[in-house]
Amino acid sequence: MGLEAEVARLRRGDLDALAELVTRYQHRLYRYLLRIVRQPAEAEDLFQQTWLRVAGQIARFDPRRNFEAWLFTLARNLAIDHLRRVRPESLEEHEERHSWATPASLRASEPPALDVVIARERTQQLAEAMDALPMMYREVLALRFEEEMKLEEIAEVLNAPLSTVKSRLRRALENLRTGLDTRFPKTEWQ
Amino acid sequence: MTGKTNGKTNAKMTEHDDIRRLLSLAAAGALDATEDQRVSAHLRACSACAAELASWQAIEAGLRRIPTPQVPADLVARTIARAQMRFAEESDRRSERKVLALITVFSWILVALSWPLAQLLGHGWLSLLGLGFEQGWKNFAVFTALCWIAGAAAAILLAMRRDRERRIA
Repeated sequence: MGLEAEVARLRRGDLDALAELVTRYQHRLYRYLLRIVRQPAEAEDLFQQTWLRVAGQIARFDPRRNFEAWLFTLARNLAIDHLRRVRPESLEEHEERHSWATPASLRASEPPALDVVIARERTQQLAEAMDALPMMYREVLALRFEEEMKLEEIAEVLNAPLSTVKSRLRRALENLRTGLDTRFPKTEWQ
Repeated sequence: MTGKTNGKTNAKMTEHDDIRRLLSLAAAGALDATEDQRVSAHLRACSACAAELASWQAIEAGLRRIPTPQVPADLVARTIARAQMRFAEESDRRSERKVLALITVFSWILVALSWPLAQLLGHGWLSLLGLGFEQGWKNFAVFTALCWIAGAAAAILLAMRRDRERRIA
C-alpha cells in the first residue's frame, strides 16, 4: 500500500496504518536520530516519542505536504529539545568529539579481501570524521547523503532558507574534509 | 599594460577560487543551473579543479556507503505498543469528558425539576428549621450548591480511584 494511503488511514484513526509507517521508516528514522544524539538508548526513546507525536498530530497534518519532511522535522525538534536539556554544549557549532572508538557497525568480523579492507577502512574513517563534527553539520550531511533528501526537503526539515542549507552543507563538507586530512593524512580521496 | 594583465590575472584567480568553493556542492549535486554551467565551463580548462572535484565525489560516495546502524529488534513492536496504549488512554479521556458533559447537563435539568418537588415535599420540616420557601432564590441557590458539592465530591473520588487503577495497571 502506498505512503499516501497509509497516511490517509492514519488520519482516520487506523492504528494498523501507524504500524505500517513505523515499519517503513524504522531504519531511516533511527539512523537519523542516532546521527544527531549519538546514544542508542536516547535514539530509541526519541524514535518512540516521534511516532507518538505523529499519531497525536496527524489530524493537523496537511496531506499536500511532504510526509517524510514532516516526520523528520518532528524527530529533529524532539532531538534538539532533548539535547538542550541533557547536553546543551552538543548543539554548539564548534563542538567536536574526541573519541575515536570504532562504531560497532563497522567492526570487521572476518578477514576480507584487500580492496574490501581499503574500502571499509575509508568508510570507517568517514564515519569517525562525521561523528566528530558538530551536530548541525552531522545532520545536514545525514539528510543529504544518508536520507538522500533534496535541498528543498532539507530546508523544510531544518526550517531554514535554501541558501542557508547550501551554505551549511558546504561548511559541513569542508569541515569533514579538514577532519579527514588532519586525522588520516595518508588517505587520498580519488 | 602591466596593470591590465594583473587585473585579468586577479579576475581569473578570483573566478578559480569561487569555483573551488563550489566544487563540494557540485559533487553533492547541490548547484543551481547557473552555478553548474560556470563550474562545467571552468573544469574544461582546469585540471586541478577537475581533480579536486573527483576527490569530493569520492568522499561523498563514501558518505553514501556508511553502513546503516541496526535497529534494535523489538523497537518497532515497543513503539506500536506504546502508541496503542496512548490511543486507548486518550479514547478513555474523550469518553469521560463526554460522560461528564452529559452528567452536567442532566444535573442542571434535575436541579431545575427537583426544586418545585422539594418545595412540595419539604414545606413542613423546612419551616421547622426556619427556612421558608418565601426566601425563594436564596434557598434555591443553597439547594443547588449542595447538589453540586455532592456531585463534585463524587466525581473527584471516582477520578482518584480511576487514576489509582491506571497506575496499578
